[in-house]
Amino acid sequence: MQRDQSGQRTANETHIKGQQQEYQQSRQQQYYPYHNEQQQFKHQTQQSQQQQNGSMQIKNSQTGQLSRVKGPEMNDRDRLNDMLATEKYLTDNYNVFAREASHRSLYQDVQQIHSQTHQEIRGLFNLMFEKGWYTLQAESTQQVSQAHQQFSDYQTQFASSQQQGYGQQGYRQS
Amino acid sequence: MNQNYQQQQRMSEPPSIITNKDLLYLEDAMSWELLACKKAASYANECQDPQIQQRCDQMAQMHQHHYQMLLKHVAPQTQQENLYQYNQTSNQTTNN
Repeated sequence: MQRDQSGQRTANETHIKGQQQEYQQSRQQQYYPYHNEQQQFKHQTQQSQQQQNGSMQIKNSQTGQLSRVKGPEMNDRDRLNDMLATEKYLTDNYNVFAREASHRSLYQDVQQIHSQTHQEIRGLFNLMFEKGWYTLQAESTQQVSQAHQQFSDYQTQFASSQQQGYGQQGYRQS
Repeated sequence: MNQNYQQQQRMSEPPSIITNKDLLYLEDAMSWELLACKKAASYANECQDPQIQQRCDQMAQMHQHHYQMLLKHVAPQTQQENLYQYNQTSNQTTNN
């Protein structure tokens, strides 16, 4: 998720990269230089290939506003991506600031700013998803179940035998 | 100050005073907010899509608000209040 939100990745349409292994045929296409129409075309082919494979792509259709813009000037999507990068930079730095702040009232304010900036990032991401600029790939239920099995088994390694974990009942009970 | 420190009870947390490190961070943070605010405001003007425009406006406002929150921490009034409070509490503990 985090990586999908990266401004750079969407700006360059490299989110397709993650699917590389599955699509040997389209490998050549993936390294085409940046061009909006080609990207859209790639999207469609990827989508149909995916449906054949049975995995699910989560995506809104693009509004088509942007494909007309081909010049070096910034478009709306670039601007949103840039703002997203800015907000991300801010949260990184506020994270450090909050940790290093001396007294309580300063700490609280910094934390509040930090969390509001995070919310803004979430809002930006949702807006961009709504516009159809983010493609998410659902993992197969089989893979997810496998992970669940594996990490359920690991639970024997915890010191406490408590199954609930970190709950209201207190994790210090022994 | 040194005397106070020896006589008074141990402080359970740092007093509300801006340290040198706090100030450096505050200065940095305020310049980040100022830049982010300007950028969002200028993007709001340039954007075609009204939804994105509104989002940028909103962001500009948020950053301005954050800037003002931070600025308050270095305001002379806050500093005076903090110092006053600090002296009060250290006097109290020495008197007891």
